[in-house]
Amino acid sequence: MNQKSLTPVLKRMAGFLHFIFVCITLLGIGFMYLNTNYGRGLDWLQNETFEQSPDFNRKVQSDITSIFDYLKYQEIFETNGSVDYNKVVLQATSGPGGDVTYTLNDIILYGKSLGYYLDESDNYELKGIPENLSEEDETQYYVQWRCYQSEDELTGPDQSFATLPELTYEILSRFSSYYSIYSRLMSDFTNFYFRVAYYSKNNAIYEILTNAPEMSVDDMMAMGKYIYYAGDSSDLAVRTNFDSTFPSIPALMAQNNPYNSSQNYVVVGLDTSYKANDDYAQEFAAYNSSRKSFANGLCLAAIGLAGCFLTFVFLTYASGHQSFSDPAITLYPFDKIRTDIMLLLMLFVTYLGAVLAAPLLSRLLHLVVSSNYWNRANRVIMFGVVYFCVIITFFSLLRRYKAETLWKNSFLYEVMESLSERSFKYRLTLGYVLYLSANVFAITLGAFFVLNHEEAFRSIPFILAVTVWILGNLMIFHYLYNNAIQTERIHEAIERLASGETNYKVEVSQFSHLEARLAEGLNRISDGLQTALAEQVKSERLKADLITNVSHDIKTPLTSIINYIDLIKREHPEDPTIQKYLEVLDQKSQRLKTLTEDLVEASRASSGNIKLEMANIDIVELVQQTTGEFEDKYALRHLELVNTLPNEVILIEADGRRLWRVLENLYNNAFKYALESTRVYVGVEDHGPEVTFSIKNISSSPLNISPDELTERFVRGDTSRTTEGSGLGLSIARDLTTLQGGKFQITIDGDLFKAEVTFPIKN
Amino acid sequence: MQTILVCDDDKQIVEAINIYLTGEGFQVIKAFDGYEALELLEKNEVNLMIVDVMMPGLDGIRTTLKVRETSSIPIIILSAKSEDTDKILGLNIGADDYITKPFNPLELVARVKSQLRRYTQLGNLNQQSNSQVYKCGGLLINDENKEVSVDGELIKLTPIEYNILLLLVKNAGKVFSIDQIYEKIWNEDAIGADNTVAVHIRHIREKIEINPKEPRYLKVVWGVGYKIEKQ
Repeated sequence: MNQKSLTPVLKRMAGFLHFIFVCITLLGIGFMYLNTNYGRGLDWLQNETFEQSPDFNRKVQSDITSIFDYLKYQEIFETNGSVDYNKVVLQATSGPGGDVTYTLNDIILYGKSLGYYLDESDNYELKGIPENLSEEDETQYYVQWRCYQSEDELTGPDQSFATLPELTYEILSRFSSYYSIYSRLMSDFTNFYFRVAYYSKNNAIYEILTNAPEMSVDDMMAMGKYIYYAGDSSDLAVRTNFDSTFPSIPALMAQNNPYNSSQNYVVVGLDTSYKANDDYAQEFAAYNSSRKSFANGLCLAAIGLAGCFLTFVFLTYASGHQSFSDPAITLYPFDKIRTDIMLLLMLFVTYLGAVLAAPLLSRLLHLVVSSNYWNRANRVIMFGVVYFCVIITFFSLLRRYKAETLWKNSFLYEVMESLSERSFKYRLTLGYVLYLSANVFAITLGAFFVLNHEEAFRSIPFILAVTVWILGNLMIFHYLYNNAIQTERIHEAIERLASGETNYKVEVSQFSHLEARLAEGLNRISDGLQTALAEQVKSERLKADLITNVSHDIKTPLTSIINYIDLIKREHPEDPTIQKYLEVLDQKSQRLKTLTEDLVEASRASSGNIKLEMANIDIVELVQQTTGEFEDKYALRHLELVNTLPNEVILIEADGRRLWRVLENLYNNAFKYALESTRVYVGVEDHGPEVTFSIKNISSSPLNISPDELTERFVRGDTSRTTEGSGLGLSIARDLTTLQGGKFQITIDGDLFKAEVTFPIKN
Repeated sequence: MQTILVCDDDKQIVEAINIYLTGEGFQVIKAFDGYEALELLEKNEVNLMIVDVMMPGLDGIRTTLKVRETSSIPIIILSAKSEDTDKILGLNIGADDYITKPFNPLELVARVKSQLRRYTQLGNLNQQSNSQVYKCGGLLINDENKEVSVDGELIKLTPIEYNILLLLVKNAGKVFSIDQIYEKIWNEDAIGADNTVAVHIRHIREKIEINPKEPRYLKVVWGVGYKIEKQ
């Protein structure tokens, strides 16, 4: 047999076993429940013997009382130790001349005629109910004497007047009591031995009552249980091994003392081997069997519980699995109902079962169970129905848990999911309305409850409800707080992305629901930005590399051109035309040389592909140095350099060589385009946080071009210049300035050309 | 007669260099790639080598490395690559000078002569340990007779130029600002806004440097001052 078909069989068996064990548990509990010792704890089972039980002590007490009762009854009904039926037991009168005297015999006969009898099987209990009482029987008699009362006790009229049947019942019931005691203690075999002795003062007369004349006091005191009480002052202690000292004994002794003496004693011995089959023996047997049945019940309950537990554990383990080796969980159609709906359904079904099915089933049970046990049977049925429903619900929940659909397959989950998937606006509005209404409802209900129940704050359901309410509010706060944290993370991520940290990523697993999507979106933006940036950097580099490589390739043939032009010039051609042509070639080849060099630099500067070596430099010193470099050159074109420099050190952070290149380009620019024999103004101005270098010159040709265009030549590819230079000088100057963190500005005012380079001053 | 090995894959350039150098009285051996250059070096007694960087087969950098394994002759790299990094690389692997294309023929010849003088003539000058003589690479100042020479060639300087140069050579490696130089030479407080020092420096550079725009000795630290490179 393969495992696949084995497992369901095993599971069914386990389920059946579980049912059996539940029954066993109930049976065991039933045993214990029905026992008279139910609810007395467990220690009595171990510690108590029959002789210690309260029932036993009550019985001994009643028998001791019976001894003294018998002493009284002896006087009434006996003469010389045996029953005297001719003894007068009642003297009464129905009026003048109506005196009557009744002997015991008369009363018994009258009682018999009324229907009374002594039930021998039931301890000589007086039974029977008088019927068809004649008018004569209803006659009220004035009691002059009756056997169970002394004359002085007949005081009140209600005590003294009675009908004959009433008196008969009284006397007969005492007679039955006498008979009962006699049969129990005196005649039959008994385990209860006693001796009561009274002595007159001089010990001359004495009266002894015993059911064991052959036994001495010591014999009795040698028995399993005994008590010895002496009326005289010789012994103050009550000698006994009973649990009780039976404090009623002294009073009883005194009541029945026929002499005015304290010379008396009572001794009671109980044969705890219970040889005689009397009440004690029977009760002893009953007690022991009750103990046994209680212990059995306990065992059954324990076994049942253990079995329940084991089968429950097995079922918990096996539930949902088709076979032990198969980790897949099989769900029944019942398990596919939404969890919360199922719970509500089962709650309803359990309630219905408890209210409807259990009474119906108990009616059926009543047909076979005796009415004494109906109540308990009902409870068992009720328990069974509820247990069945709970077990079914539990295992369904268990299978859902194993299949991981417990939460996901719930209506609540659906609601929350749909809520969290909606737009922020929708979610917030709905959430707020729900939260508000729930809180208003809860507070209203709470207030209503408090106002109507004074003890509200002590009622456990109210406290529970308040706790749940507080916990619920805390949970909502927690949710909002989490949300806020997530928003903060997104905020931080956006800040970082915006500040240029394009490789910043958020941890998506830290987000939930809508925020998770937001986080994913952010990560995608970051990815996109990075890719775009990398692409751009790559393309810029490619462009710069291309220009560099092309310029290298141009330079090699250019070298030959320049060199061979030079070689031709060295040949000193005589023809002035050739000399003129050579001059043009020389000029153009030199220009081409400058152009290729500037081209590379311009492309690097505009793409930012330059490694800057930033240092603290003195801009004033730099301007002086530059001016020194150019002074001779300017003199060639009769340009006068006018310096306006502050006599102090002004430090800025820049790459000295690159900034020199900027100034060099600007000086060169002025040198090339300034009108001959004019002044060129160079100045450095301290504006507090910034320092500005400016160079101004008068253009030799009209400046019909915008300042922007002047620096954008390279970018726009507008190369309409015919004069010397590459036309890239300003563009390079601007790009290098910007790269070093400075500002570059060109102003044109008529023929006045002004270039400004501004840098922040370093403190 | 000194022999110079010229190695470039562009035959016209090699030919042009050949013309210039032959005109100056050198013997020229021509090679058109690195392997050929190495072969010719083994076969001939060569005093100086000019090598191009970008060549098919063995390039200029690797050729230089190979030559440096056996020989200490001056090597001048002649390349179209004008980036700083290229120059630094070339000089670091053992080249003595670096000239970018397109080059000025006069500059090339001057540099060749300079390298040869240093290699052949100045070797024994090292032994002169006169306290009045200051030396910095090929730059030599004899304070006793106020003579300045670069690679053995006498230079004529004005007194102020001489004093400035002496100050810088005495403190080789130290950067002097314009004001500091002014105060030391003129013994006056600098008033600033004066280009005198800068102009003098330019003149000195034009006299002692082969290419004043790429000075070997008197360097401009832009925005800070001037210094003589410690060599």
